[in-house]
Amino acid sequence: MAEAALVLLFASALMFALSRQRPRLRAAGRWVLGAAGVLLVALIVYRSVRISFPALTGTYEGMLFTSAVMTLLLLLFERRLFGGDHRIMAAGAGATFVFLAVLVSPVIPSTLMPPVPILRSHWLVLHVAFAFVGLALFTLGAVSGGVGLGVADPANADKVRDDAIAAGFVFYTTGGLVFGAIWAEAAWGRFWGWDPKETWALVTTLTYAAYLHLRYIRKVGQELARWFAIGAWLVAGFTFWGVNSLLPGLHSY
Amino acid sequence: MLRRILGMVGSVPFFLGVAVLFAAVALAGTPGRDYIYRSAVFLAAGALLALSLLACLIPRAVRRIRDLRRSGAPGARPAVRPAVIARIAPDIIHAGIFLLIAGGTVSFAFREQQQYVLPVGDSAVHSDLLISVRGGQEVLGADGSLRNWQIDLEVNGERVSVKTNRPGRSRGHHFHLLQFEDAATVLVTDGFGSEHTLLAGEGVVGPQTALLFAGTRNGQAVFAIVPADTADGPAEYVVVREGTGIGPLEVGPVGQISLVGIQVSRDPGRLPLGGGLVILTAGLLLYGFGRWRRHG
Repeated sequence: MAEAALVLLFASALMFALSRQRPRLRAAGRWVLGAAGVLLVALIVYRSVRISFPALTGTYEGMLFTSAVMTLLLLLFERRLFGGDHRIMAAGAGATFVFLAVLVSPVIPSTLMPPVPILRSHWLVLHVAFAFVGLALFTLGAVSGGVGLGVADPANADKVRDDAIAAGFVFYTTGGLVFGAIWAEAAWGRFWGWDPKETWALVTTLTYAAYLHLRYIRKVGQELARWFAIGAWLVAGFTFWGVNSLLPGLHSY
Repeated sequence: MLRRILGMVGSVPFFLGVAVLFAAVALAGTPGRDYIYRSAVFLAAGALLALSLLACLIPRAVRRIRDLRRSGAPGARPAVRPAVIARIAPDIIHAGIFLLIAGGTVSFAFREQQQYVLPVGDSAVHSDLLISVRGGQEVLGADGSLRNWQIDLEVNGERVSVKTNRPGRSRGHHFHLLQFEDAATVLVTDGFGSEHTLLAGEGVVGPQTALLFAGTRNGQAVFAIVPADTADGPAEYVVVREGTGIGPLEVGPVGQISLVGIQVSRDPGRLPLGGGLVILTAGLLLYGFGRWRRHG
């Protein structure tokens, strides 16, 4: 199912990229992207039913959820937030394709295991879901930053970047830090433990807080903001994937 | 002068500098260098971050209160709600973070915490509490899969039920279940007729030999036999059948018990930390809502 969604995402990215003067191709791209989204959501539901718990407790599930959220964000907010900008849609679908390509590769095992008791917490579900929605929005922010660097009329991409990062900051901080801290208190009796993942999550929040301060208080220019959005995403990306691979800790996703 | 200092400490460049310092010191502590988080440098970075927050928050809060008074004056134009929300939300976020830093400091200074690993039926004394593990069981789902563990504690005569992710509370202390597992035991009778129930890693000393219970193999006890006069001498590992005597020590039946790992904690910082999380969440949601309403 993930492989089929991968093909559909590639096709939709291609359709959006080529749809500058072709509204029909853009509409077709929308349908193909929608089909990929349906497949991804179906896969999450299937895995959740198999383990009788929301399937959000591993790296595979986390990336799957992020890909689904990215797809849904692109579909739901295409007109309202992205102004129907085909370049952002193409880049967003492309970024989701890359996520999914990593997901279906042998690098990330897709083994489905029922969660151990400590992972059976509603706070954990909120923690992971909000954090991954935040990551999806940060990714859209970085993608828009990249689009803004490469086009002649970047005003729309710049607006999308600012909006996506501000919304991502809300979701990421609420989910990654607040809900995570509440779950940690329930599970281990402390809100914070300076686990490498927690520390990097805090650094990610500080990085995006710096972005918001620079944009809205210091009013830094768009060029710097575009590069900052891309750089900040690298920090977020390391928090989500680099820490798991390179540093020992309590987090498995 | 004070206004100038507040302006400098509450400025964005100061915040950025402190954030970079704080992040660098925090990252220096990963992985396994936890002493960094108790070091003067880290505490100083945290204090500077708190100062930066306060210096940003206080003048803004004073301005907000003045604005509110002015908007309440007769004939004043009512404020546009999303715009007001967007303005006060960052202040609420800052207040929440400040409370978190304050709560974290209280927790760092006054938190008491101790972990105990006890067999079901055993007791431990913690400060003025007598904690006994009265029972423990697995909580299974309808399909028979493991959902949770539950233990029943008795704390100075009061019953407290604890599950993973659901701590118990009694007499100002919190009880968290960190570990629940079955462990092998063996009964050993010494030369005086006293019976000892040994867990893996525990031993009993006889006149010539010491017996250290290493675990079980095929349902039989495995012991490390160490000559008593040479504590550091080489140990011989042997599988011992029930009823076998080793010197005056007699090995009894192998059994199994549930072993429970609990954490007992008392943290005066818990309340400000919880309050900080609530305020931070409220500020973040208001910020998101305000932006959504203003910008769509």
